[in-house]
Amino acid sequence: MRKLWILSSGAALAVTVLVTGAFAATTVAKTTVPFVAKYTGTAVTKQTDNNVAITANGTGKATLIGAGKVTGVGAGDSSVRPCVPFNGTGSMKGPFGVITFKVNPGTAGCGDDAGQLFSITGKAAVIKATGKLAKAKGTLKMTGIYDRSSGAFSVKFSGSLTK
Amino acid sequence: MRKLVILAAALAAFASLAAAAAADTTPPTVTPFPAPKLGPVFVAAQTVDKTRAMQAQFAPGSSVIFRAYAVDSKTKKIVAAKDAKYFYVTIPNQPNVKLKYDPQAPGAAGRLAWTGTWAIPASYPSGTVAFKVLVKTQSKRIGQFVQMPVSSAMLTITPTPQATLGGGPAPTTTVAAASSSSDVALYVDTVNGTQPVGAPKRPVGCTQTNVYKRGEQVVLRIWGFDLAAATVLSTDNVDTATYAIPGQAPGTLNYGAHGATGAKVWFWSAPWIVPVGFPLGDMTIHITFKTDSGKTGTYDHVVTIIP
Repeated sequence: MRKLWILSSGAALAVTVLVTGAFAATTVAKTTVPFVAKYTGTAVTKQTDNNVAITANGTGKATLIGAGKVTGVGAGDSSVRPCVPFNGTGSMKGPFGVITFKVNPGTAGCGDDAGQLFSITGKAAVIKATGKLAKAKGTLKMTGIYDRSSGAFSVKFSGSLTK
Repeated sequence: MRKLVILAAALAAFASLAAAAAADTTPPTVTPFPAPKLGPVFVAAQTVDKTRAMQAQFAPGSSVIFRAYAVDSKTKKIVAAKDAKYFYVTIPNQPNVKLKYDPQAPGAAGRLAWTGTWAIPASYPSGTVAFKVLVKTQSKRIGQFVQMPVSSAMLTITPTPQATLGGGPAPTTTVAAASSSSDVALYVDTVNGTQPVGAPKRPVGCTQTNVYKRGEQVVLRIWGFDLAAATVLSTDNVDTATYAIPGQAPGTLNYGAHGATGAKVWFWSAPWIVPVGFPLGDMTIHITFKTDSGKTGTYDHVVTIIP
């Protein structure tokens, strides 16, 4: 009888722990953080056949991580016109954190008639975030302009992150 | 002393170069057409000939049919005959051309049901015509249309206009006027692209047309507004901008700069080559915009395909 009592008490405890744990797990609410970042800077492109190597550096400001820098490296395919698809990775750094992102497929720069002024449209996936946005994830809309003649660019990241 | 002068000159030269370099890297900016913000009433207008063929070039002594539609940004409804106090075209040094609401009128097409004809005087000087279309509703809300500043596609008077390839879309195939309200108002036209594949280039590229030969390049040109926010449609607020052509894969509209250097404006566009075996006759290009806030706007633009 005593063994049965111990067994049933143990089972009850296990059930309680499991239920409580499960409940605790389901009540961890995810926070949605509206995010906007704007940067301006200079991009350098180096073309080899249809492959365009891209390096970008800029300064600006982002939600929560503050004023700082954006950097990026990527590659484009100039055989596709008028919109040149490109991919790559980059980071936004500020005094209150760092966001590392990856440019999603489908992102492109669409050139004007002269192939000088490009409209950038696409998405960037946040792959890592630290500081005030630690553990934040999500996909941001990425828009901007790139002036090929001067190298100047402006870019905006917007959307919602969850953490 | 001489060394000092040389050093000062070198420093000055370096400073001016540095300043020039700094100026060169000024971040590029977007100049959205027609404006970042919408006024009380949205207005879109096209110019066609009597066959409903879109046309930008006309000879003195011929006639231009203006066709237009307007949307009140408050009610989000198309302005009908009973809603308008006035709706007319102003042309430099010419009497105003009053527009009349009649979806069956020659030149009318779909929601572009306001039409009026300008008989171009034989003595009218050659050049582009900076016309405007003005509307005022009974509720005293006003709107204005001006042409995109791309000279080849603007209304032009010339003794040698580019010949049209044929009559425009038949009235029976045009899309019925959209009387329902919409969250997004759109201007749509098409021009002949300068990079046809399988058809000769036209003498003048990027002129307005809605009649194409197989192998020619159709270029869609679009601008519009989110009516509730009264903001121009741009990559800032548009999630997807697409066009659909029967039997073809859906295409994406691109937001970019167009026009002469120093006077570029931004709008949506997309090139499409008419395939060699594409069915002849009238065909509808269905355009859809979806904004980041979930609003949707559509427009059906009809073009005629000829051999």
